[in-house]
Amino acid sequence: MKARNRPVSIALAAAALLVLSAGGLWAQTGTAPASQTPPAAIDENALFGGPKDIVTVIDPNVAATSVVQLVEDTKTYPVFLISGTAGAGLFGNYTPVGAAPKDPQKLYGAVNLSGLEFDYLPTKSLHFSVSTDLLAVPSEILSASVGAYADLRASELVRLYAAGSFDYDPNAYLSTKTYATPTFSLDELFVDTELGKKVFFRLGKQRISWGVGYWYKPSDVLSLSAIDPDNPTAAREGPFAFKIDMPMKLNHAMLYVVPPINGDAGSFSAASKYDLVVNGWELSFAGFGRTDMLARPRGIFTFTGAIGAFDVYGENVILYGSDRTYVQESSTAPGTYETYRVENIPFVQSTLGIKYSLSKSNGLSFSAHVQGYYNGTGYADSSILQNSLARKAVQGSATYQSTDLTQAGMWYLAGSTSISGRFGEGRNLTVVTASAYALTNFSDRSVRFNPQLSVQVGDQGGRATLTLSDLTAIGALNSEYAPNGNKTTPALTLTVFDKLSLQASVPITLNTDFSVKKVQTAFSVFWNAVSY
Amino acid sequence: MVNMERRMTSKMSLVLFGLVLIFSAKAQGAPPAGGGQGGGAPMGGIGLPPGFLEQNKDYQFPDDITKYSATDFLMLVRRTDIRSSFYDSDMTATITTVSVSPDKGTFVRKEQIFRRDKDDAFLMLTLEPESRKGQGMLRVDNNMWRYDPTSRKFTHTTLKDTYENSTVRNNDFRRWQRSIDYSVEKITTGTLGNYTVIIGELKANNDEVPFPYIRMYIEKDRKIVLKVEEYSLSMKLLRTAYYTQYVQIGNSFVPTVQIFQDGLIPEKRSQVTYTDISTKPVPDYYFTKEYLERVSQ
Repeated sequence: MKARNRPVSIALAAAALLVLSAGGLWAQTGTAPASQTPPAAIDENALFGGPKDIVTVIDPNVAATSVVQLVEDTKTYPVFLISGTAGAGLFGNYTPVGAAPKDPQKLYGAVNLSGLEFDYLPTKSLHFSVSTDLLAVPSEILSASVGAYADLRASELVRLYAAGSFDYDPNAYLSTKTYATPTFSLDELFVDTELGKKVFFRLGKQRISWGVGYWYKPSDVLSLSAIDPDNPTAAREGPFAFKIDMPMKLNHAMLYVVPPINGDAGSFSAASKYDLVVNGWELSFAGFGRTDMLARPRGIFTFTGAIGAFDVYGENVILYGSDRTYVQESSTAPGTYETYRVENIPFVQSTLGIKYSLSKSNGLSFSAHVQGYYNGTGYADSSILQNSLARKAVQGSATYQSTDLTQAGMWYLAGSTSISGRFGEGRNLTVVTASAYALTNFSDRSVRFNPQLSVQVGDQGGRATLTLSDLTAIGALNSEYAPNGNKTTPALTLTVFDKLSLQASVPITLNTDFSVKKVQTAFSVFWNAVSY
Repeated sequence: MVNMERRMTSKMSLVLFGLVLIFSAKAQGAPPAGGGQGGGAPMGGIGLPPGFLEQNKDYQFPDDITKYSATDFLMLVRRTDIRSSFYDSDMTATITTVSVSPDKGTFVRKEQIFRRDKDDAFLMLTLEPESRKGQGMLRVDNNMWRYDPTSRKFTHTTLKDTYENSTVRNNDFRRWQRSIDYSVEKITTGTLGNYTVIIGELKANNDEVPFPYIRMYIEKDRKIVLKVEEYSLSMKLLRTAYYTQYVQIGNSFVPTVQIFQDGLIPEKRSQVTYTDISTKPVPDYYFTKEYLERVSQ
């Protein structure tokens, strides 16, 4: 950061905040007609003592043939909406142990936009939306995430939808993933249409989420990106596909056809699935095939339901051959690596998950969730992929796919738990929650876990929220759950009255013997002066 | 040789699709009685105990409200349960919920609901805030699906699970069935504004309900619920619900203005207001996952 740029940058930041403040003129969240707003104080005589009867009789024939508007509530267009927060404050980095020349040791004035979303609806059937998170210091943007979509409907079930995003987050300040360079992506671009309200079509690039698992989804064969272990529910990139849906009451059949993407007219893949609902269980039967056989044909069976007080789910996949390009050390030239495929024997992938939750009227709540995964296409010992020469051999293979280097183990286990208690009442109502999640790949002996303690004071933590966490990864370099080796990141977040936000994290890199190799710190304090 | 193997496996995969499609077609079966779109097994039944509706039809309540027995009051609760539903038609409405929090300010949420009580089917779509538009929930009998338009993911859960990590259980989205879930402990009488009410103290007979104890205030003439106090196991008042306006359509009563007072935070309350109410038939495809996905963003 250059000193001469600082006043200009601070002025720009202030101007940005001013502009956002002015935006409050068209913020519409949090407003409602007085007739739909609860009274400031409950007076039972006022509620039930008025001159008008509390029962309004509507002619059944009128209700059966029309829509009865009971209160005046008509939305007028165009509509502008804004939501989110914007603030300014200080942001800094300091590396007290093991600092390298490239490590920042600075304190900045900074602007922080959090969940800032703009929505514009020129008519009821058209919706444009832009949302952004941004962390900027005077000399540069440290991280930014922008998402936008347009939902353009010709009718209720016929529309064009487009969504794209921009991410830049080299130090993963805003997300659980690192975006070292600015990354633009077209997330979705499709058209929806239907035939006689019986057959529905979605044509174009679209997200597809098959499977019922949480951390592991062997049946989600059409998604193009891996599951983020720290954010398993995050949206994942999907293919360009033609999708045909046929609902049959609660049951449901669908067919996907993914057209050629490499110019080879004979290269396409297809998948079909049928969901069957029986006695509170949803059973799905599916098949998948790809003409060029890069992804192997497979049959899929998934289920979700309950056994007693437990929710259970599972996915089972049988493949003829493995999708994976494997690597092994050459027997003739030790120290070098060669790749191979296994295409003529069956493989099995199977996962089972169990969830339990308990909630008492005294405010005590408890939940637990565990999922195990057997990946028959994985390596019994996937530590070979920790060798950079072996990884390069895979990446250099003619049949290389990005999935060759992810979920490469054979045995996995993941779980989460949470216990929460409520104390006090009124403005001092306090909710204390202790939670944790953990994932382990037994095949490369890497593990990742994040214990967390949260204390919320006031309604939904509106007065103060304190969160302590410690995301820790243990394993060898390039292992699945500790790609950067042993590392632990204690972090603290404190929010007061939803206005003042303090964050501090201390990423600590550890040697293989768990001695400290490097200690970094990142800290910020923001006054979220503008909120919508 | 490799090419031959690939051709074989390619054919095998096509056979696999065919099997799935044939299975789908077979499972589709005949359309339900009375027509309608699509086929498949009929939706789950209304799931009520045998005789639940019939036993209440001709029940004679005492003329003198001070003479109510526990059985009389339970049948009164059953009548309010039955009349909160539409067993002879579908029902749609738009619901606005305005929540006021001393720490979080005012939050407005608008949803559209579609009910088919004879099938115990319920669809809810979020209309506002715009940032959550398209999120939705479909429940039919013991099955519940939530849809996240961001990840395009459906989640099938049971009524035992909690709703979006909140303290609300999926079971809370079922129609009123207090006469099944509670037994009567004590009965008194009183007034609420202009209305004479019968007051019943009820105790839960299972742990599926969010409140172990409730106190119900039921208006004596039209037999509609005006107020419900909900207590914890230690009899701490957790919430009070006021049903301050109703519409009557045929034999059914819908509480169109509901005010909820939090028992732990006095300044926290919310109001649920119904509008755009109708009993027009809802197309069958509305109660499908496909509709939920298509109307979302």
